[in-house]
Amino acid sequence: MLKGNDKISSNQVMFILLTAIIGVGILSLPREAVEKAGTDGSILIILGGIVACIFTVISVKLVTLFTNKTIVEFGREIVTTPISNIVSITFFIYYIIISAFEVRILAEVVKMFLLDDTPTEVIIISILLVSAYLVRGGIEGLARMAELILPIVIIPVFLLLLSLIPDLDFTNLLPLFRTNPWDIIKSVYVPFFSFIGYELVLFMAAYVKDTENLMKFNVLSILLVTFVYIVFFVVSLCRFGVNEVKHLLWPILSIMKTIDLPGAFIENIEGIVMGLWVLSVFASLSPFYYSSALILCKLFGLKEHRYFVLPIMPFIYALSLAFDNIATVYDIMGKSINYIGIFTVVTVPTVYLIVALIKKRKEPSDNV
Amino acid sequence: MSKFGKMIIIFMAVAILSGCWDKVEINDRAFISAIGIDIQGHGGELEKNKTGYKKFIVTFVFPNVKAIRKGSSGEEPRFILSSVGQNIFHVSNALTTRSNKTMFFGHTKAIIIGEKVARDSDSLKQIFDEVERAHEMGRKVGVFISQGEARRVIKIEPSLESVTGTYLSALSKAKEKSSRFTPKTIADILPSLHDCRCALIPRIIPTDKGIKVAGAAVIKDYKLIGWLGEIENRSVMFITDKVTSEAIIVMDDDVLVSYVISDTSVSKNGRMENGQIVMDITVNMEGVLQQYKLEAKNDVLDNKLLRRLESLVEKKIKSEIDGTIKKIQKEFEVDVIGVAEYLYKFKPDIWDKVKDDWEDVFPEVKINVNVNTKIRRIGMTK
Repeated sequence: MLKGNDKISSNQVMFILLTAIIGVGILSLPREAVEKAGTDGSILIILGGIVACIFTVISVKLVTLFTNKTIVEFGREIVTTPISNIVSITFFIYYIIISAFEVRILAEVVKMFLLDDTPTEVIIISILLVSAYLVRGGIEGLARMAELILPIVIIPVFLLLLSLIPDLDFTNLLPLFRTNPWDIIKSVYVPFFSFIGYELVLFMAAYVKDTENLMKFNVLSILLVTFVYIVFFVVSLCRFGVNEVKHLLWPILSIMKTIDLPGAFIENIEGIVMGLWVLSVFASLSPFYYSSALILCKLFGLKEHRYFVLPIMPFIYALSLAFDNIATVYDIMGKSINYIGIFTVVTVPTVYLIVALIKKRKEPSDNV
Repeated sequence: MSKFGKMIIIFMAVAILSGCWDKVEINDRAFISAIGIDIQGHGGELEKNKTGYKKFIVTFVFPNVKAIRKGSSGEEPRFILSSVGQNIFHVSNALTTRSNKTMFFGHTKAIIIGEKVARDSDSLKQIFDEVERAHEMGRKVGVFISQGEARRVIKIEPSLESVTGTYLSALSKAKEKSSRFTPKTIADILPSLHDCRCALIPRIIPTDKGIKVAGAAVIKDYKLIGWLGEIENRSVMFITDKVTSEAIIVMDDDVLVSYVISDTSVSKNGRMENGQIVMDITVNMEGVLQQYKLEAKNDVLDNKLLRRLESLVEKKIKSEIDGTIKKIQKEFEVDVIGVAEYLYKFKPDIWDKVKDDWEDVFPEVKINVNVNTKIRRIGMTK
């Protein structure tokens, strides 16, 4: 296998972020947005995107202060080693939970739509093995996979959505601006958590060749994700109306079931859609899996992350099967991702940046 | 890698690649095309009390895959299976004892609900929940309510297309369709039920020669409360802007005039007047004069005559719509013409005032209907 020097460019980071962020969250996002803000859900999603943008800027500012170092290493410089190690372990646990959540939802959906008789365990193990293979290939493989998968997934899905246009009732978007603004602001956290994954830049920036472009591409990726989310939200709202979207577990999958391809050569396209979606979850899972392996490797001060890839797998596997049913999966795992997420993706970058800036300012005065 | 390791990998590959857990051969599948649901016995309280639940008679139709092949005219074109159970999938499960095929619902085209089932709100809620929850069924399944038993409808073999489900779906998809019924799928009906607990579902009537789909069943609170006739259904379609093509016939003195609508549009306007909600509904339509009469005393290429014909059509349509609205408002008291939807979307201030007791307000809403007709073309002759 041809191997590079494990360096990626900034626009490859964008591809990784796009695939990582758009994962399983998109399935239920329209419902959650409608539950909180009704027809004003698109405003909610835009606000969530803006907040995500702010924290992306903070994270990128932070990583550009330190070149060729991941947060595990430069954390030790900013706050002391023990605190930084605790933070890194939190990140590790957080990524394990996210990976487990993603594979569990994937397994549930695939089992429901495609493989009735295949045991959930087999579905989970197979996706984890494939993902582990990719993750062992390092960040370069990850980036190239993301570049491959993104167009394969996005283009057909948008073409399918085009065939839905005659069925859409755009008046379903009305009335606008009827929700109490304070209620909307209070629920910004709901769409914001669909943007989780932007903090991966804290780990990947160490491998980026052109860090000066990092800011541009990171913000661009958040904007693109916001756009994709809004398209899906508008389509599901226009197709089903407010009350029905509230009622559906995964509005996006239900949308795919209503598509009637012109010509009707293929009647049920959910097989195709599921295939595309499995690809996108695979691409979404791998960066998180990779980061968890990377954290361990950096914590122990090793050079190769690949020794940790397989040992982590049993943890993800066990955690993904730890909960009995889909309700507890969403309840416990979803909530714990959100709570730990506030710490890892909001608090840590902000505090680190502030401390780092203060230290930087002090340094010259110390030298004098 | 040692030889032993390689051996293990090869054996694992054999285990993994050899096949698929979920494979079903296509010959072993029964592609259910239509499902009919009836209630057993009278569906009254007696049966429910005995067992705690009602029993349904569910009928499945599926095409004979062998008969589709060329030159096999002797084969039965379709099969019908029917049994008693608590719900659709319960029955399909029970029927595995009587059929060598696995039932597959991915290509189901129609669900026909018997009149007695539809009159019971519990049953209807159960059925719709089951159908919506089932992932294999899809949301494109057409729903019909039969006058009388659904079984009877399914047993009739339509002369043009022997498989009931395919027949009904082709009927619904026909583009130049008259407006005697509005095709509805699960994806149309469920949002409507969730919004206002009401819906219009096309009515299906078994006749001696075939199946006829015309008119609509009025569902209120998940219960069938009455029927709309063909003309009334057409009026509802005018108001909700669903008409694609329709022929109207009026009498001009002794001349029978036929007018074909090619395009319609509807504009609505709602306002509060002295504490009462007033809705203005304007139906604009364009069309073609299809038939007049040879050697009639009038020349058709005459604006005055066309204006008169237009006003005749307008009068006829308006009186039909007025009658339908009266029936819907006063008799059924159910908002199937989308007044609430309009107010919610475009007049949220009014809606906020009345949304809590909409069911009492709706019969009192004053609805003014205006019809504007244009005869654009008169065909090839003068």
